[in-house]
Amino acid sequence: MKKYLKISLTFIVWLIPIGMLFFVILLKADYLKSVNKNQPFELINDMDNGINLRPQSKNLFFEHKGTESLRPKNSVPISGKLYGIEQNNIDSSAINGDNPLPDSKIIQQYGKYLYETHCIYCHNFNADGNGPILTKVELKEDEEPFPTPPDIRNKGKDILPDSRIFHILSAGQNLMFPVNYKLTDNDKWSVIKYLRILQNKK
Amino acid sequence: MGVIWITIVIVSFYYAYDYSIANINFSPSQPIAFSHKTHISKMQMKCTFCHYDAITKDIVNIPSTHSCMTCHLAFRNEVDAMKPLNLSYDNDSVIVWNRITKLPDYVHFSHKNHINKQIDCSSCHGKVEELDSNKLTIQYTMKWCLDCHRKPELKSIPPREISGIWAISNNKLNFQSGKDLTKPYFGSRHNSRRENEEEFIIMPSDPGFGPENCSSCHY
Repeated sequence: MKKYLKISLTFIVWLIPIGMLFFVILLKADYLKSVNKNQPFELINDMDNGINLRPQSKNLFFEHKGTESLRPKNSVPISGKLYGIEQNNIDSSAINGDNPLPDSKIIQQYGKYLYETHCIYCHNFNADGNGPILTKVELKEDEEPFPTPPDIRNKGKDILPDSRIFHILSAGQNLMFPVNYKLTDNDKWSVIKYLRILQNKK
Repeated sequence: MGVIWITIVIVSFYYAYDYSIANINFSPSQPIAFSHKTHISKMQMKCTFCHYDAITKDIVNIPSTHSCMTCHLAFRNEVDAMKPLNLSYDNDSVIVWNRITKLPDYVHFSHKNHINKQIDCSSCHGKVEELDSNKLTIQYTMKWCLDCHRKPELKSIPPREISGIWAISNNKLNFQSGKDLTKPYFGSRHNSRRENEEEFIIMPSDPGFGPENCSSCHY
């Protein structure tokens, strides 16, 4: 009788680590997949997933169940200014004045950096309007290409004044959206500084 | 026998606990099947074209409908995958994306500070440009953060052209060999400013050791 008791006891004692091993293997099964669609299982929740509301995550408080929402109209960031002139209002007296920035090398470099991150996809590196959106896309059948952007080197045409280009950057023109939401006023002026260098190149 | 029993229990407990913070390969379904691979690797778009807040703010924006529509208003707009985008553009509604990269509430991470020290996006986010559907590739633990703060020359990646980071020089990183605690951290705010600096340009400073004070992240 004692013999059977001992065997059954060792069986039960060994069941614990083997069960743990199976448990871990089951947990790691998700870990080993190349793509895991579900929120990972958490055995011990060490304050890692708080219930605080955070940016860019779900939030049941609002109707759309997200944290992001639209700004009220005509609202301006703390460091920004409201650009009130409409897109079609070209003759406004507010559109004049020269570039307030000095001709320093660092501003030209900064303008080059901004131009090459925000503008080249349509206007291309040398501003001829033949950017990657026209050259790098493989069009499917029955698909229209992106409308060709204008050549902003302005060869054979009148060159637009600085303030007019600033108006285009702030209010947009035709298909081009305004870049007000990501560039500040000084950023836009330094892009114009770099554009002048591109236009003066042969 | 008893030793084997105890080791198996301890090891399995350790791995089970370790999983509690490991959410590698987490890739939830998104409202739009957006592919970073086609946009970055093929079209050569830069990270900061859409995630422009990375340069000036602590928390980076998810691109708005507006920034998608700069191209997609006139191009490839009638595909089925674009329906949620068109709906949100017409109705002024918000697309709710599922957040993948998360840090606990008691940690503060500033994108601005790291990017202005000329550290590339891929040193924390992995190679996003190779992924069709975005997923977590790195387990964000405190050890992982401190590894890079202590030995940045091994872990951090200098800015690449595709990231769109404003960097003065794309040379290889230069690090101090020894560490003198009496001097300010190399690359910290005490760094002397460059000449010809314009006020509005946030000038990048040289990369270096990160701070190891508790209060530099847990504040």
